[in-house]
Amino acid sequence: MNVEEARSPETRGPILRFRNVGISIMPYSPLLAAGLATAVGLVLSSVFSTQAPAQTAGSATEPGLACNGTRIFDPFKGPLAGPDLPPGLLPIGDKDKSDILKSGLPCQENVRTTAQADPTGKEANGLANLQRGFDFYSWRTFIALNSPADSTPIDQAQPQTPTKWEDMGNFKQLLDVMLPADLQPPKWPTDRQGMIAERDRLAPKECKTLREDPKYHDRMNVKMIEESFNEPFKTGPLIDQQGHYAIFDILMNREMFKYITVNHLNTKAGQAENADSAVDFPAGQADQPAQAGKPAQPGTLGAFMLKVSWKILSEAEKEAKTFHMVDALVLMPPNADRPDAARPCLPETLGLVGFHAVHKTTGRPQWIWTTFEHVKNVPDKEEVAANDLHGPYNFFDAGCKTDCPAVNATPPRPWDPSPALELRFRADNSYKSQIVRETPLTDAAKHMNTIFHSLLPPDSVWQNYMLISTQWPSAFAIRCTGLHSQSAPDPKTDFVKQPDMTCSPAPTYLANSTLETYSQADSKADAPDTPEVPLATSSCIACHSNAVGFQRPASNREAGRPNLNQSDFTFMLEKAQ
Amino acid sequence: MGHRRKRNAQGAKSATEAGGFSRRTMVAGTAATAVVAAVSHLANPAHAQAPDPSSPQDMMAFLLLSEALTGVNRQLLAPELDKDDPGIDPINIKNDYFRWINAKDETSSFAVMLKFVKDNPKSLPGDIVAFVNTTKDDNIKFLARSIILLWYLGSWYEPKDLKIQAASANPARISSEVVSPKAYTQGFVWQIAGAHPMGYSNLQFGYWSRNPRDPFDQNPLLAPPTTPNLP
Repeated sequence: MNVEEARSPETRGPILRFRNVGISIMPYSPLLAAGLATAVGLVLSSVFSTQAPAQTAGSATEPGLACNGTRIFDPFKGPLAGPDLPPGLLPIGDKDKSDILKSGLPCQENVRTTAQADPTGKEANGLANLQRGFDFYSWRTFIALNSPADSTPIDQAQPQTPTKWEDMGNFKQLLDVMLPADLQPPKWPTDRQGMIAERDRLAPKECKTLREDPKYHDRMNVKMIEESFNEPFKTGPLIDQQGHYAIFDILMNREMFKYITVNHLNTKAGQAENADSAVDFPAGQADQPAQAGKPAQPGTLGAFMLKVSWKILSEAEKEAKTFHMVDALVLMPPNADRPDAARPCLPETLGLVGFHAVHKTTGRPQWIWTTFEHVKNVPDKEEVAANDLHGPYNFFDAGCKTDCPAVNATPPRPWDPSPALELRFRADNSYKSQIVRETPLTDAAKHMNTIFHSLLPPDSVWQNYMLISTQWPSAFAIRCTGLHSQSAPDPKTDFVKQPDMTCSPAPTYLANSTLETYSQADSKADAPDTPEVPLATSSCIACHSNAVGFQRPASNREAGRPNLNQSDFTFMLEKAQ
Repeated sequence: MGHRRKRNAQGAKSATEAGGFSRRTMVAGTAATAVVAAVSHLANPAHAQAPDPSSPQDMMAFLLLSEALTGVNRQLLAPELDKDDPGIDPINIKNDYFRWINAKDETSSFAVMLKFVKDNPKSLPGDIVAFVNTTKDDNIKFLARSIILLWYLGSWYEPKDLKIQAASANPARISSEVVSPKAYTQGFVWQIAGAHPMGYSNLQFGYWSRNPRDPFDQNPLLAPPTTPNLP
């Protein structure tokens, strides 16, 4: 096993990492500590003019999605918070526009508590400045991942143009990694023919007949399990306005795949063998210059995972071309009552409605949680209250006046898809979800969306997607990992007896209306000012801090390293068979 | 457990140097500090006017008062004041508490206490405590007790109930009200006890398998990380 076992007197077990690529987690970067922010900002003030984006692969020798290790701040003028865009902000200059769209996937966030690249690009406080930096990172990430797989610019993309993240060389579906014990272990060859052979090996046998037709052979396969139609915490399916299930899928990049397979975490047996080891996925890091005799290091992407939601498109929706579309073969989930029954394989055109991008970096070992949605998914509750509706929506009936389904209510049971109905929830389409967004977007997020939409052609399909927000751990460095300082403020006792897994996420809550539909903040009539109930309200980091694999609860740790969770903020390992 | 954070404020000084704190924080280059900057204005004569949670002067006075009453440094009460991490506090429980106290105080005692702090910006925490202890106004004394309980428990105990209880030879149990879901997780009692409220924990999975740590342990839980390469 190509794994280095690092031990220390404090370590109760090894931390799994790769020997050859050096992608074990780095100590927390104090780059973002505000005390250093100004000085660091001066050092890092390379914006776009002096350095061309340096695209580096996940590692110097590894295949996979490239990332840009150059640190970039947004060049936008003025504060983005507040009801109005700063005058003169738009249009964005051609050079800035071109540089942003071509800047590629960030290896790491680049944020600070002070102004961004432009001295006027400054928010009211440190928190808002950091949020702005993370939202800029999120939009760059979204643009990079959804750019055409053939590397043509995103401003030339058509609705059905395959994206980078859909390319089999860049991301792999979770169920193609967590294979049944009777299959050979998963592979991720570097050559296209090898990847196609692996895809064909893992294609569902139920789809065999369809796949013999050249029209369907190269389609993406979506193998449904319960998590493919049931919302987190098994709170029920999401049903669109045509009466179909929304479909969810989870993917990982090569760095995650390699870590999982090298450490045998893709099987229950492998996890048992490594039960005393800490799971510590590689973290992305920006370019590191030569320093103190050490050579310069190119940026690395680190672990990256995606969760996406799809809507089955009607013919009219395909014609309208307002969704990013993919033709897929959808294998229905096993029938709970008859697990041996044949599972229909359905050719469908899917429209992207939700997009989570989750990235572990050296600066944010609790990962950075980005979420986007289709702009026509749902109205927010303030729009509903004001009857300011601009439908039709994908998951809300703006015209419903009487006998409407309860807002944000889970559907009536049974929830499991019926093979006879294919992907319709009810034979008579009698139920459709009535969903609203509980937490409206902030003005700053809306303005960031406006800016990025202005960078895209008016007819670009990506005009129809918006950033909801980015959640990030706000108390970084050593402050939430249980380290005590002799110069800590009074009282001199150590308030933090155990590490805080979440490091105070900002914003505290974040939900995608299609992916955390039923765990959005719930406004209670009797407590309208205090709607968010911890752990009953969606928080990416707080929820995923509870993720575990099939490991024993020993929490080994290495001196100087953060004490992270057993499965490092991902539920993926629970799907091992 | 709620929003627990270790604020590693190198060289943090006492409340007596509030002005100095303000200057340092401003030097750190943050705008959090609309609150902090208010310290320099505390010396201005102030009347016991109705407390205003949007007033930086009132908020800073509230933090100094709370620091004196709880013994907890204001950087822990209001993480946005941390000079290493200025302006960053996504939870911002101080605002909730200020508004709650302001709404619940039926006696103007809150305004009187804030006025004392604003009128005496160089006061030591002990001076503020002495003011509370020596006042003849029981409304102030028992509101101060409610504020202490609020910070530690996230729950509101009515001052008049506390007064009745204190005077009773056989104190009865008094009711309290959890201020909000956020406050439910933010009481300092959880951090001090190394525990968490029922139904919510951000401790590491498996924390129960390890021995609890001595709250007076000055040794670090982990060795400090080494400094990574900086560009």
